[in-house]
Amino acid sequence: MRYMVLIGHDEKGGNNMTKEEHGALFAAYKKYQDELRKAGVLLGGDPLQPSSGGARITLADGKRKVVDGPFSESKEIIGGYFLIEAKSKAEALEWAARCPAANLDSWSYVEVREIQVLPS
Amino acid sequence: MSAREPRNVVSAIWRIESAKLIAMLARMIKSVDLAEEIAQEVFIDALTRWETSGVPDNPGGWLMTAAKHRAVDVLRHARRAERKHDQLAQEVETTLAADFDEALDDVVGDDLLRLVFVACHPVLSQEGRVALTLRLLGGLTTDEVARAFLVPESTIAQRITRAKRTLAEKNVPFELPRPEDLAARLESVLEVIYLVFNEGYLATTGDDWMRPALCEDALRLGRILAELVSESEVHGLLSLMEIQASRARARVSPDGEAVLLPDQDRTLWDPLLVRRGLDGLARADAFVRERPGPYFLQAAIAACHARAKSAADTDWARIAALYDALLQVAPSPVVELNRAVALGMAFGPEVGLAVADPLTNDPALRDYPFLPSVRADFLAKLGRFADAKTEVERAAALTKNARERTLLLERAASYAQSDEERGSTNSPPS
Repeated sequence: MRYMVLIGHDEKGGNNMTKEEHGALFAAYKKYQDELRKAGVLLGGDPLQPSSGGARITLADGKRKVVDGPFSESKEIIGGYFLIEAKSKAEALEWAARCPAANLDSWSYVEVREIQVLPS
Repeated sequence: MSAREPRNVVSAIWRIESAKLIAMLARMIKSVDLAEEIAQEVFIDALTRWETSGVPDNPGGWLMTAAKHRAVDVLRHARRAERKHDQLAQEVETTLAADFDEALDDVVGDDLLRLVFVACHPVLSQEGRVALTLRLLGGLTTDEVARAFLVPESTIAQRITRAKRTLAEKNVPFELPRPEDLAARLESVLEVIYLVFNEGYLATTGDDWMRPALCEDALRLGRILAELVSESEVHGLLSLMEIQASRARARVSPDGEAVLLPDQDRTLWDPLLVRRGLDGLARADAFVRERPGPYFLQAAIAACHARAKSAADTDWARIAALYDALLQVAPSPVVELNRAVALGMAFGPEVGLAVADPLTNDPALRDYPFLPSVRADFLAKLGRFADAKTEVERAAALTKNARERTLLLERAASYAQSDEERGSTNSPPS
């Protein structure tokens, strides 16, 4: 079964980090990704650019509305993802719990969602 | 939230950590059997503790440490029991001290690779290798292996026991193969992984879900191995499995019937697996030394199909050339027949028929329905409908699959009709 490990965070959460702390976080993600790959469970994954470069598109009353980022009103911005293959939800949760984002106290989190397979 | 029950958490952690744990223990105490036993004890102990205290933040590290302590106890005990083992125990204490300092990835990787080669050791029967690999490296329980292979649990338990006993009796060392043995030993490992994959891939719908899950197990083993070994064939096999797995949804119709490659809805192919397969093929290509091996070539053939937007876009000339190369490294009449198909598609039915015809004398293909079926197709394309009908009827008589027989007989009927229509427009010379 495939699971999406979504990384949510407060984009301002890293503002007070020192250069060293940023470096350490980057290294932790690299180590995590290596661990997933070496275990044969990693199918894909990428970090996302900050929401300031993104946009949201909606349709309201038949009119398309495009709102540029950053989405400052939200403290839960998706910052990246890992796509993994696991035997069970318990295994997916165990992998997700090892993600740096699940270990950074208050300003980030991971969300685990199973990929839905549509009938052919 | 059943996924968070300690029992399920522990079995998930077993899946993730057990191979590394068993591999490390096997190196320390030089017995795969004892290593697995200790690993299981450690897990049972963990389950009991975690049921009351909760799962620790770093369960993997906790288990590694607990396993090392347990191994030291076992070795100290052995040393007390038999002074002769002094030296061995001394050795272990030294490596142990080093291990605690450096939980290095390289060490873990080397241990895992040793475990792969030992589990797939040629002294073991093929069944034994498969069972041991799934259990020790795939983290499957004996029951899960049994359900996947549609045999009683006791049968798998016996295979595992027998395999472990053989390893002990033959004094198989927990070491990496010598360089001169590497190719042959690796072949045995790849064979086991591909066998597991095919066991899952060829399973029909309605089977226990454990069977299709074998594909995922094989892919996972292939991916782990590809991280440990930079050999073309390892990446070739992984690429082949990824591309084959990409077609999983297209190869069975909604009513459960098999759909052959030319008739598959290519929009159902999994683009993620196709891309991973093509990337893997490129890596396999980069590692080719003297000449490409059979898995690489089969992956390259699968890639030709994967790249074709429709069946009509298939690069059959390239596929025929790849079958040529495959015939050099892994000659077999089935490969030759596939080469005939590719040649026929690329250069016309006469060319294909000329290659397929001599195969009718091959005893290995005497009862192989695909041969008359292929010949029928070429004959029909050449307008020889009466011959085509005879051949396709032969194929129908040979196949054991009812659905396939129906399709072959439908072809026979359509050839008969074409033959009749031609008869009515072109009267035979009197």
